Amino acid sequence: MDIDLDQIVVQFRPVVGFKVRRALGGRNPDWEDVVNEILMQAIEKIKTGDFRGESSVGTFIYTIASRRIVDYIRQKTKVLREAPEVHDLPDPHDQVERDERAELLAKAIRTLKPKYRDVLYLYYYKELSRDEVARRLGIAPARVSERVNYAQKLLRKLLERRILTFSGPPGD
Amino acid sequence: MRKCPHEVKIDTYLAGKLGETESVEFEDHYFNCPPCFQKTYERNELMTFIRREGDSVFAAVPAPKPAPAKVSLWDRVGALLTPKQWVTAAVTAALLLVVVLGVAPRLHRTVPAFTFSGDETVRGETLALLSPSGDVAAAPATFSWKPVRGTVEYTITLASGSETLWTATTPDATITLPDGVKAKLAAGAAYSWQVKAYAAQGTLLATSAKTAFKVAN
Repeated sequence: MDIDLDQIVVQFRPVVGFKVRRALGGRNPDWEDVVNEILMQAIEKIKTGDFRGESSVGTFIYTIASRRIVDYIRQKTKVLREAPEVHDLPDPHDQVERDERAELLAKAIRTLKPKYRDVLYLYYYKELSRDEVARRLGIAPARVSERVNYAQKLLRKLLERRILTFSGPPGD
Repeated sequence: MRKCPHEVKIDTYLAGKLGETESVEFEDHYFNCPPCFQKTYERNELMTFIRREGDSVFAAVPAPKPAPAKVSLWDRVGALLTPKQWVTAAVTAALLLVVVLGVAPRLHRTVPAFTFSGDETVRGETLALLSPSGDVAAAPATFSWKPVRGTVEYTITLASGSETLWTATTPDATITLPDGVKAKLAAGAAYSWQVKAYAAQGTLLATSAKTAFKVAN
């Protein structure tokens, strides 16, 4: 089977990263290590012929990721009982970049039409349910979802115009 | 971009409300579907950002306008039919009204009258008085009238103006004036008499007109 291993790493790093961060928690400093372990294991298995295409590559990597996460959490629980955790301080350089991006996104949200801005406000900021948002605005719940989707598209376009893409490695 | 059926689950998944089996299914899906992953990732970013930075983002922004007032009962009733149907209904109702109002008076006239004037009779039968009537040479000895079929009893009333002088009943279509009453009849004075015919159980069959007579001087 002809699988481009580099391509696999590039394609799946963000996906694995997203899944791992969700499972471990956003502030967990180990997430990058776990992601690397998962990717390395996947590559190994493909190289040694363990993966023969019985499932899709995506499912194959997802399975490895799920198992590794479960193991990590088990380990972590053991370790937590033994010693307190030490958190790494965030990189100051990353922080500046983060702030800039945040400011751009904030500005972009403020420029949205009230129709789209309001759903974001009620749904994500106020954290109302979709039905509650629908009731408040006097629209159908399906419309709420439509508007959130559309707002997201608009924001992506706005950010792209300022030469900053929304997508990329898992957010900081 | 073709819409992926899993797209609708993104928010529920991100809120952690998808349930274990469905979550696994969803995750497996975005490991295999780059567009879905892209959307999920971006949505998560947006959601997290707003939650974290919402205070500053929305500080200078006007609050969402509340929904317009609930649809009134009037609006809801109005929405039952299309405008065209409402017009048809209104026209039909108007026509019905015209017909009803037009016919109703006519119906009124066919309602039978329940009060009698002197000339009217029950069942259309007239009780004709025969004599006396008009000028008579002397005080009448007898009163007679045309018999009415089915009569069990007749009642005769003799009056001077509104004052009843004498009344009697008889099964016959004639009756003799008692001497005592006859003697009271004065010459030149006007009198009137009337007969009513009754069937069994006192049912009034016919009433005669009041007939006047005068005894000659």
